[in-house]
Amino acid sequence: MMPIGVNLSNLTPGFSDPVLDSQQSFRGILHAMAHPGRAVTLGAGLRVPTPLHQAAAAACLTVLDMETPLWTDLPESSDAVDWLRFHCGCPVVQDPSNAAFALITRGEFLTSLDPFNYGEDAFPEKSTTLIVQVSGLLSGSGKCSIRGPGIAACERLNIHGLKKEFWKAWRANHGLYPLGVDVLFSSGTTLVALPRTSEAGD
Amino acid sequence: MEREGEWMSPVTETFLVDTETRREWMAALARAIPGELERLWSALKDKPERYFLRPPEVGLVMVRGRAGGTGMRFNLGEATMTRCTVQVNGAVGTAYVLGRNVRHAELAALFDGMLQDPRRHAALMKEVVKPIIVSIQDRKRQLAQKAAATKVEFFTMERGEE
Repeated sequence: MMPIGVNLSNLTPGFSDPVLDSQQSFRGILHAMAHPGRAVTLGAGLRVPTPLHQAAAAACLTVLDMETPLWTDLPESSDAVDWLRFHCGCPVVQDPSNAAFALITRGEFLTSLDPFNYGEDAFPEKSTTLIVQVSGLLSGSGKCSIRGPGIAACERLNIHGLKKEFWKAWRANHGLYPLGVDVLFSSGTTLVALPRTSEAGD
Repeated sequence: MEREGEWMSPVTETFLVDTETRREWMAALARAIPGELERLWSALKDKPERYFLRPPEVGLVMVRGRAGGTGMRFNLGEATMTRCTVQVNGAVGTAYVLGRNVRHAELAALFDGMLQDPRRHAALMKEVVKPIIVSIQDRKRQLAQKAAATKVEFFTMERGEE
């Protein structure tokens, strides 16, 4: 059921073909997760409310529903939150540790991963998955090196708009394996996954 | 057929948002016979452009009730429902309709959007909503009459002493 209080006046549509588009998008996310650091294109043609990126918005439409609590850095009464509530029907929670997914629209403010849910030993899959918007993403070359399962030797990534503190937090997160959060970076229609298994640094 | 329009942004005109009256017309549109709605739609001059925010989709709703109208609510069972949200000339029309008739949900949402337009409201209330309400009441009355004809009065004959 749609929560009460969604302002519909500035609403834009979601996927034009909900079934095929979300399947295609899910396949893309799966591919990104299986190949950390490699870019996939997601959400091209999607009309999204500011400040959402098309790739982040497409990921939200694909993975969020009424059973996945979402935490976001957006103000509660914003067009983007209304859009997510209307199209995904997801509950928006105040406490990041209760969130199955977190949407961080300004990656430059993400300096710690501790507020999120790292999962439990019995249920490591219950950790929060972060969808983080950054100002630039380019795979294939760059300062950031990623190693781990799914990568033959080393994957290189150029990523703009992240603080040094993030990479420190990421090393701690990687050390928690099998616990820890997974991250999907988004910039425009580009999506890059960084699962907890990946060792990464700037 | 409907003309597919462009998304309009943002809404600048004032639309009717009186919840009570809107609830009435939305209920009437949802309970209308689909054929009746289709007929009213085709009779309509000056059809607006529409733009789907959520194309008609079929789902389930949990119907809840209270035994005898009192006590705790319990889940009675699930019912199929079709919902649709459409932008009509800048207003947003929504419909939730029982059953799986996607066209019904679409038309109900279209009318809901148009009814919020102050320039069309009065005419549509008279030509569309009122006839539907009359027809719903007729059907209700006929059903009540049919049921009343089978009503059984239980009484006990008074017996004498011993």
